[in-house]
Amino acid sequence: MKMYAFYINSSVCSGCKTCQSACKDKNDLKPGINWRRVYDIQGGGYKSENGTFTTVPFAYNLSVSCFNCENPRCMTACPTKAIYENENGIILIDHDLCMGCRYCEWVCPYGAPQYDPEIKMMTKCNLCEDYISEGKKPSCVDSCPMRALDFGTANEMKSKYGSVAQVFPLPDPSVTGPGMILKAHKDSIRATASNAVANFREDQQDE
Amino acid sequence: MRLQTSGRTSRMNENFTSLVFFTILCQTATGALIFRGLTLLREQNSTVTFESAKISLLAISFLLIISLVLAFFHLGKPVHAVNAVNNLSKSWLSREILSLSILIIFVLAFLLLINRSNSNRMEPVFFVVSLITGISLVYSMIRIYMIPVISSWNGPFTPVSFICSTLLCGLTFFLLLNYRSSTSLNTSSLILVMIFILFSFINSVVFKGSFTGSNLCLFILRIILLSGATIIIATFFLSVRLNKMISLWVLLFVMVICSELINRYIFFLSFEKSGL
Repeated sequence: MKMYAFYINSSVCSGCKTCQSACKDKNDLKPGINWRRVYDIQGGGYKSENGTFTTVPFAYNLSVSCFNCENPRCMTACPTKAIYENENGIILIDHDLCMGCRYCEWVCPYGAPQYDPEIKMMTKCNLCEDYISEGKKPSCVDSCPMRALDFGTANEMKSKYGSVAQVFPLPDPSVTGPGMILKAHKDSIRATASNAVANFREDQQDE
Repeated sequence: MRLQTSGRTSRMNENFTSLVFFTILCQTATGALIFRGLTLLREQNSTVTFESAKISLLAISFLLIISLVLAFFHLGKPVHAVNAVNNLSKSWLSREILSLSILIIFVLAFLLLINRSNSNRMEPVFFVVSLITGISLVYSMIRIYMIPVISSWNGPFTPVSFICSTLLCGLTFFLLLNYRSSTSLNTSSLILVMIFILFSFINSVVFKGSFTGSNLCLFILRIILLSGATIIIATFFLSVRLNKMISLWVLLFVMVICSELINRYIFFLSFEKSGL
């Protein structure tokens, strides 16, 4: 089965959240539900050289959505089989089965499944499957003014951009095998320094 | 490599009170069934055992049904709960729900059986099945909460805490239901209660060493309740007369179950997700 992947170039992402807005607009998402989210990651540490201390700050943005994982924790954990993989390899939620237990929300390390308090069931990014079937790319990808996002089959993306899939604060990719390739921001290496303190948050200005 | 993070709020954004009650009541009922079975092995062919079996099973089935009802409060769409056992091959949540359903059906069926035949000859069979289903229920619960991305739960604290609750609450509930039975049973059981209280306390302290704010207040309240339970058990050792006072047994059970409910509440408060 086909596996899709997103490419995220964190080094050029300006954090403008156009991808987030495009996703909300395309999927008519309610306030509080963001299938694509832009995280603002910042922090710093210090280094001691020749008796002086120098600060080593870092700040970068990370645009995140469902990565349509190879071993999706949400799908394994779902007791009702509401989370399923369709014939095109896209992981979706069947609202005729979902009982709104929110267990998928606990197990997903990327925060992809989100609870909709109006329908009292889970929702998640569907990779704009209607656009994909028309040969287009998801709305978030095409809307990015910095061209920080790209989308295609996992093989296409790997041959184009390599296979790096980890940057702070994302978890080890071996856990779920996310369909994601990253170009990390040059500052991100500082976030994993032994004395670094990182703050990260998701700006939800639309709430 | 050490990494500190701050300013991250990945707390559970849902009401987990029903889950606190659901897990503790299920574990209490399972524990009581286990001790009911163990007692049966010691006191076979006793009329007291038969009479107490009916009362115990009624109370246990009541607890199980209440916990099942409480589980529905956690669901967004309870009408879709019929699909909850669709993923038995992979989901521990499905397995938990199946175990609970089997346990309830089995306890109710056995209650009907002993009411009709006025005999509990089938109880050994019932005990074996309920033991297997009960252990499977508690094990499924443990696996549900051992989630790799929730580092605060994915450690020995979760299984030890769940097993302690099953044994401590189960035994106390069983003793309350059978407080008139022989002193020898109660003496050995009371020593067990003391041991389980000690384990429960050590588990809280070892695995959750740092308490802040409301957690600290809850922890202190839990210690007070466990200390109160220990004092009641000590009085039982000192006086046989007090041993037969139902009010003290009720007080002991209330103290133990409240302390375990607080412990489980602290457990859910400790939800801290890594990743995003």
